[in-house]
Amino acid sequence: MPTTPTTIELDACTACPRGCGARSEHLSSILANLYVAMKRIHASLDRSDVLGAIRDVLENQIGAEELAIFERDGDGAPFSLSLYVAGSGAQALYARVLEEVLASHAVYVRSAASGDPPDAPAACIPLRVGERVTGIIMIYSLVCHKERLDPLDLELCDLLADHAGVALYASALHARSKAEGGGR
Amino acid sequence: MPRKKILLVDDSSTARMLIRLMLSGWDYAVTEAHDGREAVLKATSEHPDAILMDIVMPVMSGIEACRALRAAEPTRNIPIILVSTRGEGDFIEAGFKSGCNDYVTKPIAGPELLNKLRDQLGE
Repeated sequence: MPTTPTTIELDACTACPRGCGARSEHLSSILANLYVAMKRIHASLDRSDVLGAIRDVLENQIGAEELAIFERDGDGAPFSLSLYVAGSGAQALYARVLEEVLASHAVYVRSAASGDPPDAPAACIPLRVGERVTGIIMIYSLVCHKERLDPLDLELCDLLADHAGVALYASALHARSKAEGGGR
Repeated sequence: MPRKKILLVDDSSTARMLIRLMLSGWDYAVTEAHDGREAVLKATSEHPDAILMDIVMPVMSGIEACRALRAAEPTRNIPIILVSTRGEGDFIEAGFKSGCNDYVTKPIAGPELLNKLRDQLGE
C-alpha cells in the first residue's frame, strides 16, 4: 500500500515550525499527537462519533479550518458528502487533485513549488481500506496562523488515511449488523 | 511540596487528551472541565495553580469564563492561558482584554505550551 514518505527531523527541532526547543519535549509532543489521533478515531463504532473524532483531529491537531469528508460505496461509485465544516460552502472535489489521489492512494499536499494553484485544497487525504480508497478528506484551508502543513501534520494525515477509512468502514458494518439484528 | 494543580478546560476530548499527555511528564495534578461555566465552578472550589482554557466552547466561552474568574476575588490571580484554534488578531486582543495571562494557538506545540505554563507557575 502506498504511503506518504514523511520524515520528522528531530535533530533539526531548533528550526521546527512549531517553535520547539528541547528534543525530548519535541519527541513526546509528536508521539502524543499520533497516539491521541489513533485512540480517538478508534474509540467508537458509532458513525457520528467517528466522524466527530476525525473532525476533532483535523481541527485541533492539524489546524484544518474548512474541510469536507466524502465517501463512496465502491470503486467507481460517486462520492457523496458525509461531513462539511466551516467556510463558504464550496464542497468541491477538485477533479485533478482527486484523480491524483485515487491513482496514487497517497496524501496530496498543495505545493506552490509543484505549480499547484493557490485555490487548490491545502490537502487531500485518501481514506484507505486495504487496497481500496473508500473516501477522501478535503482540507480546503488551514487556520489563519498556519501557512503550511509541517512534517508532523503529514504523519497525522497518513495516519488518518489508514485509520479514518477503516474506522468509518467498521462503523458502517456495525450499523448494518445492528439493523439486520433488529437493533440488538 | 504539594503537586501544582492545573485546570484544563476544553470541550474537545481530543484536545484534553493531548494536553494531558503533554503534561504527563511533569508532576502536575490535572483536573478537567468541559466548558467555561464548569471551569468557573471548579476554579472557585479547587483553587488551581494555573488554568489552560479553550475559547470556543458551549455554555460559556473561554473569554466569558476569563472575565468571570477575574471578577471574583478567590480566582482573580490564578494565571490563565487561553488555548485556541482562533489565531486572528481580534480573538487574541479579546483574550488579553478579558484578563488572560498568555495565549497559545492550536495546533498546540507541546514545548511552547510547557514553557508558557512554567513561566506562569514561576518555575
